[in-house]
Amino acid sequence: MGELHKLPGYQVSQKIRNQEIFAEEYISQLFERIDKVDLKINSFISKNYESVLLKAKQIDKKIKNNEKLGSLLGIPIGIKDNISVLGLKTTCASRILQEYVPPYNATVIDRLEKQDAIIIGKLNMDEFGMGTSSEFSHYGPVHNPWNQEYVAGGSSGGSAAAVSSLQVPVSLGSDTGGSIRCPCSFCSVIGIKPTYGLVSRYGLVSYSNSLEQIGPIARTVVDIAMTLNAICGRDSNDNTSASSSASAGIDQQFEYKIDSVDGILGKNYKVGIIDNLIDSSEYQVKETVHKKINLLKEHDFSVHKTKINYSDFALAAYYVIATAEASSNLSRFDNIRYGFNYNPEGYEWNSYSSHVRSNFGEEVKRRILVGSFVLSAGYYGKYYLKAQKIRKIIKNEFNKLFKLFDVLVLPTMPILPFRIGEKVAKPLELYNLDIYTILSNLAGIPAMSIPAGFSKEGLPIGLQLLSNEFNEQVLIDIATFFEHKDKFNEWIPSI
Amino acid sequence: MDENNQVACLITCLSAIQSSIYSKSVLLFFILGIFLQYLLFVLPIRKIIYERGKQFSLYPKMSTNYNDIKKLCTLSRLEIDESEIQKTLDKIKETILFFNKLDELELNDNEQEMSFNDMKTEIKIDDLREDLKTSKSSNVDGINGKETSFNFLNRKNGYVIGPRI
Repeated sequence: MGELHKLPGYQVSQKIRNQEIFAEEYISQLFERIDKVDLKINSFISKNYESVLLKAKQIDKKIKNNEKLGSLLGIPIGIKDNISVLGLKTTCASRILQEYVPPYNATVIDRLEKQDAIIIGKLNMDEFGMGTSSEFSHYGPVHNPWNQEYVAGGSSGGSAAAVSSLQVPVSLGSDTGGSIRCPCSFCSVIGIKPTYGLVSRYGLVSYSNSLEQIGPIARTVVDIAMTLNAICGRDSNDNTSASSSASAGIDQQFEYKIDSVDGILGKNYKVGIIDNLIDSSEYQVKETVHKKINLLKEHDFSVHKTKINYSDFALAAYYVIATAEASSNLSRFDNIRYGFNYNPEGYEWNSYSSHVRSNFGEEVKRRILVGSFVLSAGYYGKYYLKAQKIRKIIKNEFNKLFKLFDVLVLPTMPILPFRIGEKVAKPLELYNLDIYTILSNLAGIPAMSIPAGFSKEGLPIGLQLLSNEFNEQVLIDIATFFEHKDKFNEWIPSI
Repeated sequence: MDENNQVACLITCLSAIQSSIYSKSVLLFFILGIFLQYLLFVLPIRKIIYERGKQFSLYPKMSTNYNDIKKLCTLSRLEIDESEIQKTLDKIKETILFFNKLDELELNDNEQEMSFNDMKTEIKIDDLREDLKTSKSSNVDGINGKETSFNFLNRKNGYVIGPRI
């Protein structure tokens, strides 16, 4: 087997464009890699081999005919299984949707295909995006490429593990409370949750619509910027999406660029270190993050300590809002319009719905029940309204912090990856792990996880960067700086 | 009264006053001691009892029993196996107690809640676009005979089969 699978997306695209390799040849090698590796990782739910080969041949033909070529030419992209792809099963890793084939493409898929990317298949996840470990999947848990006895993180575990194990150079995930960043931290790859509204959510199977965003996962910052450029921008099918001249008052086009290290240093970014959250992490995480902070100081970044209050309240507020929205969003799954084949004749409406909806997994059922409870009469003010007030307080706090700093630094996860099965029976313990990631979802600001290093046991640790809304360029700059210094794009698991 | 008697009387009076002051001080110290004990031991215990009581008794409707979880299942249109009810109940109770953390934060009534207006979106959330024509077709709608893009699971004579309402 050749070594083409080791190439990052942008290099693949260049080589295909320059006719150094054929798209078909590259894709065939990638299939071999997936068939060999995914038995151990379980990152794919469905593969699209036949139409992928066809698309690869079309790309080779386009080059031969000197046709206009897209920016993501020939880059195979894996898609989280809650993003609709026309004609390809979209199960959300749930039994209830195991036969569902969407009749349309999500906007992000249309935009990727317009840039000549190749949709290679659908990736494993926690059912409906509800989880932190990718263990709550009808298709079995995703294994961490760095140590297969450990979880890959979640809920976009398949998306991160497939990129980390060199099965695809780029994938798409969705992030409701850290679902892109957590698995990126656990699998040592880069992932970004964009500002709320930067990327259209049309075609994303909704779990918590006011919190979630689609974002790219890759091994290099260049691939992240290229993919984000392709998928961002206003979409008439999603009223919460923003156009290139955002109403945020930032007069800029949504086009992210890779600057040189000198260029980045010349921008004199002010960095805020969220000290109170770093201190409450596991000691190996703390040590690694401090090493990264020292690297910033050595290069004359203006680094100052700061803190975020109310993080404990934020976690409770996040889960109130997320479960409330989940109970509403998941009420559409009545198995009439889509789902699995179960004849409704002879059933009364409610009993039919209850019966077929018992095919939801345990964790999904729990969240729906909790969501129904917090929205029920008499409790709305006590839980949901209060949670929304706390959300506003958090948002205001970030607004103040971004008047002082360009970027905030903290760990992505407070602990190291854990063993598969270790926490599956303790939902509250799993919820607590999201404490660093939910903040950006509540405030609607962008956040990125980049590889920071490894523990003594060889398990990955991630560094999280936060910036003000629609300021993704700052995150890309700081990530580029670390990529140049650490060469983390060369950290590859031996699988 | 001679001089000696006068002195003796004065001494008796003084010692009476002294013993009275002494016994009052003892009383004062005794009261102070009880007060300190109250501050150090009774108050914290009362606070713990109050907090626990607040969690369990202020909201008596909170789903803490079998019937409440059954009602939640009906509201959510979910079936949970009888053998799973207790396990589900325990985990939900744990989550809701965790949500009570929100009570620890003092918020005034004027505090604003987050709304979609706080997100930097360009168009009002209720501004709708024009309907789009669908191009893909796989089924024929039984009512108006037009083609629809949804591939409904159960169909008969062009109609979607659903349960009784």
